[in-house]
Amino acid sequence: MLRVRNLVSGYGNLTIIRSVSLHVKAGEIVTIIGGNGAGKTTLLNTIAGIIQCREGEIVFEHENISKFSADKIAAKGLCLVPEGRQIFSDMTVRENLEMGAYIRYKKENKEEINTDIEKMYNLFPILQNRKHQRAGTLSGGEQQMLAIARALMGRPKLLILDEPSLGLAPIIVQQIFAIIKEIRNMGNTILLVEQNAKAALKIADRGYVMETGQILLEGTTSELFENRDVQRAYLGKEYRHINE
Amino acid sequence: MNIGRRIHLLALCIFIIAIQLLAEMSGSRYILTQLTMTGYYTLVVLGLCLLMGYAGQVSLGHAAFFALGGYLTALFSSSHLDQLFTHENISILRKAGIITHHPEINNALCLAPIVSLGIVLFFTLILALIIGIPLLRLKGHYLSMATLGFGIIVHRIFLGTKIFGEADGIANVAPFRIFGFFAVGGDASHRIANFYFAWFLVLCAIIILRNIINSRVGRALRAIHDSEEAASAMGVDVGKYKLIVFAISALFAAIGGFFMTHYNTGIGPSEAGIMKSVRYVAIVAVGGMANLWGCLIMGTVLNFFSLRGFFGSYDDAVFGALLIGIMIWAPDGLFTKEFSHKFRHFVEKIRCQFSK
Repeated sequence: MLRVRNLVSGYGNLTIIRSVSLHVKAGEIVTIIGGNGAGKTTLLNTIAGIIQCREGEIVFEHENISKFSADKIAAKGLCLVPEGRQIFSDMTVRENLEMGAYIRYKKENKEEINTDIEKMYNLFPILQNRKHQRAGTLSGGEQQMLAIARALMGRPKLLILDEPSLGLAPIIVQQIFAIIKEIRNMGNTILLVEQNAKAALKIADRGYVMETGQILLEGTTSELFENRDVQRAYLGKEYRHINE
Repeated sequence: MNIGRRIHLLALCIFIIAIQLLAEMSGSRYILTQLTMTGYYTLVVLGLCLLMGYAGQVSLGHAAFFALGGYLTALFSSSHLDQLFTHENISILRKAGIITHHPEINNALCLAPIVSLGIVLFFTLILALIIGIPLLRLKGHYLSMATLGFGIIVHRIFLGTKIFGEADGIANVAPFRIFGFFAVGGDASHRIANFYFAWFLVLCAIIILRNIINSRVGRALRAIHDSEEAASAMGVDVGKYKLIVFAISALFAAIGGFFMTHYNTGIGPSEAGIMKSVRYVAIVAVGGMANLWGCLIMGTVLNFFSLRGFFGSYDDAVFGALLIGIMIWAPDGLFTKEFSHKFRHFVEKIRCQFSK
């Protein structure tokens, strides 16, 4: 579904992504894990067209989208939930959801969008209680749920989540990840970027490990769980403990 | 559209008529002149309200578009072009009604006002697009600085070019005739009609802007205001919308300048000045940015006071002070619950002080 080949990208003179290749198949949850400054967000922003790539190609559904602008890519069905949520804080929860269906207003009738909004309320009941509230007044976890729901409103073929656990309490993180799994079971494809490696690997099918702008490792999640370097660096296990 | 949303418009219509009747009965018809001019300035404010409040792009160069509309039509509708048009070849143009005699300015030949309006709109649109495409890539302060630069350039060009009358501006501009019997011009017998014409334009502007704001486009603009990145991730073509809104607000300013020049029968370089641009920005800020009615009310009140000379020679200082005050005490404008709450609190405190 998505195939990235030898991608190079960065800001100004700074090269951050150095030749990254990855792919996502339909129906999968693929995770990219890595520490601070590994280039995860830059990679996602490049794929979503917010940053223009320098070299390499991004192929989405057999179409080269590496030169497309962000809004064209969104219209193709690749939707990014940006880091730090970036919900529209001055709008109500409902308006945020309607905004998520922005690209659909041209083609489809309003009723279909309204039924989708109802579906989102079922998936995230808390949003229904808050539907007339300004989005900026929601808690961090609720904002993250809203950001995900807003992205789903566009009926994306591929949903890209950039650190959905950022700044949230562990119990909320669990809830969010349970919902991500549910969204996949509904037939969606998800690319998930996380610092919280343990939680991400638990729900994903395959994973990539990223460091200093390169992919170090790739494999199924069980392979990555077994990998000693991953265990030491990202899963918080002591070196001694592993060797015993 | 339901009645609740129309009631504002109806209230505005009633208010306009009431003002006129009140002025008539109290024998102060002269205030209609300033109110007419206020209407034209309000057009600029409303356009800027869409750009600043809803799309979040602060332009410090809107006086330039106002002056552009005014100067261009002044050029076409005064005796400047008379010599060009004396040639025999242009009799076709005269027959087609593109150029006409103006009895008000010694029968000089100049462009028919309606043609002049078309040219002004066309030029403004082209200029807004030429300026907008590179400038709107900038964000926040950088955009404001760039539009400020644009405003200064336009001001200096009008101030320094001979054909635009240098520091004197252009005077003796022919009135803008509509249907033969009514003219936008200085003629005192048309004062009431002019008042209604100006406010009819304001009413049209409000209706157009409301339609934009309440549509899918309006929601996209508010999304851009909140976060350009997130908006583009939703599939909004951010660049296109910013450009369209910039062009619309430039056109509003140019139309304001166009009719103001005909009404005043002239225009001077101060209309293009930076202080004018700052004034428009201040009014939109006081009105509450994304608040069409707030901008309308404040635009009317402040411009009217300014034109009546309430602020004396401290006119520009008042608007500067206003901008500072608003940013400190009421960043969301005067028409918010927070501000009314703050204000009541403040009054209460003062009263306590005095009762001691």
